[in-house]
Amino acid sequence: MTATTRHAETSRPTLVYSRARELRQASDKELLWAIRDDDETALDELIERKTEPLLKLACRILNDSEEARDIVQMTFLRLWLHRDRFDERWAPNTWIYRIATNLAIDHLRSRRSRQRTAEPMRLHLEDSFDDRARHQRAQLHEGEVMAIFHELAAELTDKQRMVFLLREVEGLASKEVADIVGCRESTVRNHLFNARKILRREILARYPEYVPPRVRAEAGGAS
Amino acid sequence: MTCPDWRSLRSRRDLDPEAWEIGLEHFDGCDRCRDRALAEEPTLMFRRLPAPGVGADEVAAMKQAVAVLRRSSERRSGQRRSEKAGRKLPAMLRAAAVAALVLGTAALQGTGRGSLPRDGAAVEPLADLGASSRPLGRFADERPFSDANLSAASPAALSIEDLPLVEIIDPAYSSMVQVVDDEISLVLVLPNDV
Repeated sequence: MTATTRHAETSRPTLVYSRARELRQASDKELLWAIRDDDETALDELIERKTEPLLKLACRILNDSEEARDIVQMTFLRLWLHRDRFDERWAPNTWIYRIATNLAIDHLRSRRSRQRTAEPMRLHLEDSFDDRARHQRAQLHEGEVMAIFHELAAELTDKQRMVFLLREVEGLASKEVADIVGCRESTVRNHLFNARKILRREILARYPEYVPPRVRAEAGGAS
Repeated sequence: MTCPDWRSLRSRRDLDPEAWEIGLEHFDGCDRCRDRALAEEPTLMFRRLPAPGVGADEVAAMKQAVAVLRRSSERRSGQRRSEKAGRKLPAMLRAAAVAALVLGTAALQGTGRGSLPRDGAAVEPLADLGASSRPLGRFADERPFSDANLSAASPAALSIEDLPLVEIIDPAYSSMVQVVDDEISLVLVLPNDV
């Protein structure tokens, strides 16, 4: 970033205010420093950057775009209210994702206590399709895959679900996932191993048509 | 690019995560691989979990919503701060008044250890103070802790036995009592011969 000065007392780079274009060139960390200095335009720039990935993540966790929107709004609000707590040793994404995933987990728990049972997705698939037609259908309807994931993910613990989503779907590194979820990398690997195992078992038991025939014959305990 | 051997890739996934990542990139761009990869690892069906697209209007709405939430939250916390400050002063005054009354009475009681009547018969209970000949309310309109008022108050009107006892620290010398107000609780250590 071009226009950067240093506070004499903290030796921390600070943005010089001239702004929108400069903010667009600032790194996420510089934006968070500016937010820590009560810069609302920096918050707007961060919203500009992070709305899409956070909304996608929240939507994948919650399977509801309206609730996901609420969670993302609360994430930005909390980020602003706790702006003085940002520790520059953290990667910005880690901090932001951590707030979002914690809110999403809390929301999942409160939702779970409201509705103990969900209608199984199976009911929607009881049409008289043969295997092949079902397989084609499975490839066509991504929305169904999403609904199936949420049905099967009910078998996972919150940590397993979160680790699976962050690592396997969002593609974050194990170290980053560990920081977000608040555990060690070895624990992340453990959660991931168990999540895969449970999901694999449940897919084969409930939705075998989504798995190509060869593996169904071998189905069972492979990890 | 040739398709990877998914069986061996999967079996080495934890040992060679980089090779697995390269395999996944290939999976994302290769339709021929799909069935073979899914046959080995069915959870890959969740790799392309759909998510809503986000347009410029969505981002603008998000900025607006966050700004509204931020302002209302700041307004609420400002109100809470001023309400708290407004409540704090009278509470502190009340607590100070209770403490001063208790200590003032203790000072007037005299110095003789063991002079406190322990059988309770001679003690006028605190709850009856309002009905006593010298009601506490009377002092509210005057300077409550002037020498005249304090000496006018019956020394027997307040005793350590009338205050909620937390702990007898030493049966011969002192006890800990607690005076609870609406918002503050005051713990006092008093000599038993108050």
